[in-house]
Amino acid sequence: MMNKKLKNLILFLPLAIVVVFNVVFILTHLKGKEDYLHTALRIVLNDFYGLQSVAFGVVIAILCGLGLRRKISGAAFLRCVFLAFLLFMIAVNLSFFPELNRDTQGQESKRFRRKRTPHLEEAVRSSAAKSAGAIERYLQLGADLNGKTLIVPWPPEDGAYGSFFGFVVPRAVVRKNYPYLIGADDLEFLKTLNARTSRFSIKDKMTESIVIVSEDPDAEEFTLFRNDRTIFFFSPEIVKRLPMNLHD
Amino acid sequence: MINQFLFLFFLEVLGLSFMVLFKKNLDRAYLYLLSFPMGVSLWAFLILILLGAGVPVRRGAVLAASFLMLGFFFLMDLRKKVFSREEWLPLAILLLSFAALCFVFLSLNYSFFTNDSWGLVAGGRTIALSTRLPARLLAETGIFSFILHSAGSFWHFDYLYALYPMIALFLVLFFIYSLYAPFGKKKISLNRHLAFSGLAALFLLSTFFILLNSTYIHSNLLYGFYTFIAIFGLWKRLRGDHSVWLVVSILALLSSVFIRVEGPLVALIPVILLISTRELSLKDKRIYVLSVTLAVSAWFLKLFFVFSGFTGKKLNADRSLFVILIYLLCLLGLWLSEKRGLARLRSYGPPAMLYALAFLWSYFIWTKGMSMKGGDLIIRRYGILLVNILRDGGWGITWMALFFLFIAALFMARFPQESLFAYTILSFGLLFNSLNLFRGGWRVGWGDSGNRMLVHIIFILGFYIFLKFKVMIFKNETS
Repeated sequence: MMNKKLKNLILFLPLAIVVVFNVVFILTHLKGKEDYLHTALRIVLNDFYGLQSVAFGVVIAILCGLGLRRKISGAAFLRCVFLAFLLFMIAVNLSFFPELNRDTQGQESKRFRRKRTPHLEEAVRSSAAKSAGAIERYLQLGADLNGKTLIVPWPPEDGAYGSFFGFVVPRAVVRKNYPYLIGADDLEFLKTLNARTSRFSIKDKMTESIVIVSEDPDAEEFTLFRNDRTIFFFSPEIVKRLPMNLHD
Repeated sequence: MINQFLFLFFLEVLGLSFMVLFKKNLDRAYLYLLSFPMGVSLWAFLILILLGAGVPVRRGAVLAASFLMLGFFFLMDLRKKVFSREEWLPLAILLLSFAALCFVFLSLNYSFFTNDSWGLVAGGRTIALSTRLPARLLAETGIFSFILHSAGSFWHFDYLYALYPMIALFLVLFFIYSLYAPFGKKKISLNRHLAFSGLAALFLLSTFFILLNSTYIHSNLLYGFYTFIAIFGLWKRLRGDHSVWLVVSILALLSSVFIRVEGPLVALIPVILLISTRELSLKDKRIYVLSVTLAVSAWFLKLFFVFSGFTGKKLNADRSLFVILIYLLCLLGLWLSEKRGLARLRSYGPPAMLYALAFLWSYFIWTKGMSMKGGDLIIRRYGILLVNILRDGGWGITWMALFFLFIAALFMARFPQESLFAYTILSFGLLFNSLNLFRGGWRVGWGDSGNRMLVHIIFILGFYIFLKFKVMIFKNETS
């Protein structure tokens, strides 16, 4: 038995050292940089969200078990403690639902702000108010492709960017406006798209999925976006075959 | 709505007609609980085979192939006489319950839809409408979800919004039952064990992010479920249960391979563990490794040609060949492990895998971490991950509690074949940390890709921890 333990120790000790070393390396990088470690420690030590909840849960669970201790066996006591602990953890989890429910943006720049995301329709409406000319133009293009297609104006005015892309959207709204198609047959649009794409680096930000409808999806102008997983190229023929009548 | 209902109901019937073939050797509850995920898998594999063979997937062809498959299973069922008179009632109740729940989820009319969701839906349309496989999409993610969403195009509904709550429901029930009677139902009290497994499942379900995933149009929950089934099935077989668990595990593992782009890498973990074990017969090992290797190699060979002349960020022609090579090496490993002189080295397979992954992680940390930009990468990736796990990822107290329970569980009595779970969790952890340095789209919040990837392992980890506690507090009833 001892031999097996010793063998395991010899086998896994170097592995544990490597892993611990990596973790320490990461933690030293995190320390003092952008406050990640500090934030994490604060969450664990200060917020009710962390260690206190677990510790409090253990205490509650033990008290629950002790209350029953006189009448029950040792195994039943353990069961009570564990089940009480689980119940407490469930309660803690549920208590955070209302707050978490609002945290739908998930953008780094707004990580400490929680704001209810407006519905897509409202967002499009507000965006439309800001760029009335653009939406009309693209709606017209959409009408040419398919009368029931909603064309999202692109690029939206500054400030409207974050209001309707990439966020939680109720299904009914998605169904009503699906799919988001963006006409892309003019060079001016492409130039702007290029500028926006560089500005909102795809690596750094959540970017929207775009369908570019073009007579020539293989055109040179699209080379820049070829490897971008958020941009899809369809020819009008394929778009016409998409089942657009989705208002059932 | 009715089209989607009919499609999901068809998947359930397909899965059920397949699973009842094994009714003599499988606990009835598992048979029912696996019917839907297996139905989803089988249909996706059918389309995958059509795509792989170059058959244009159009509505007529898909409809014909789907009913041919269903007809084949029904014929097999009839031949094996699986439908006895007393069988009809539970089957009817199951199908009616499925229909009712499916209808509820369809009527609730709610899902989370982000740009990734749109990518999956649009990819499904592309699969259904294009004449060639879209290299750009397949270079970024697995084909499984695209195939599922292509159904929307075949049968004129927008997207599969009811699939995810149905999968979540089956996942929760499967989790509860697998924890309720992991070692069989003999000598256990229904109420206490059900209360335990129910509360454990409720603990996971009370996590905001897991609940969110039950309506999120994405691949994470599907992947988490299939990986859990694959590992659980393998564990059941290792414990000596019937070889049907091997079939279930193979199907689930292959599903996971095709769901995510990192699927083939993660699937190597159970394959290597299987090669290293002494508990399985050579025949079982050969079936498992050969079928997984053949399926993965065939698909990635197809991808190799699809990717020719294309430079993908995550997958490309070279990497497709690399995946094939790795799986062929696994096959070679199996062959070598059968050699008498090398057989005793088998037990070192799992630790060797851990070492390889740990050194891979170290290598990436050191090569990336040494430069100024690399240091920044480490701060962003791990710092954000830490903050997400603790607060902003929508996990509530779950990871914190699981961490302490895991530490406590390490000192508890072992359950049979525990090492399969232990090695899987540790290997996944190391691989996840390596991949963490390469992923994009990092941000504070639940939408962070690393945060979403935690869903892949949480059910396996949860099962492992709760089973350890169960073995301890129900000592007399679980041995």
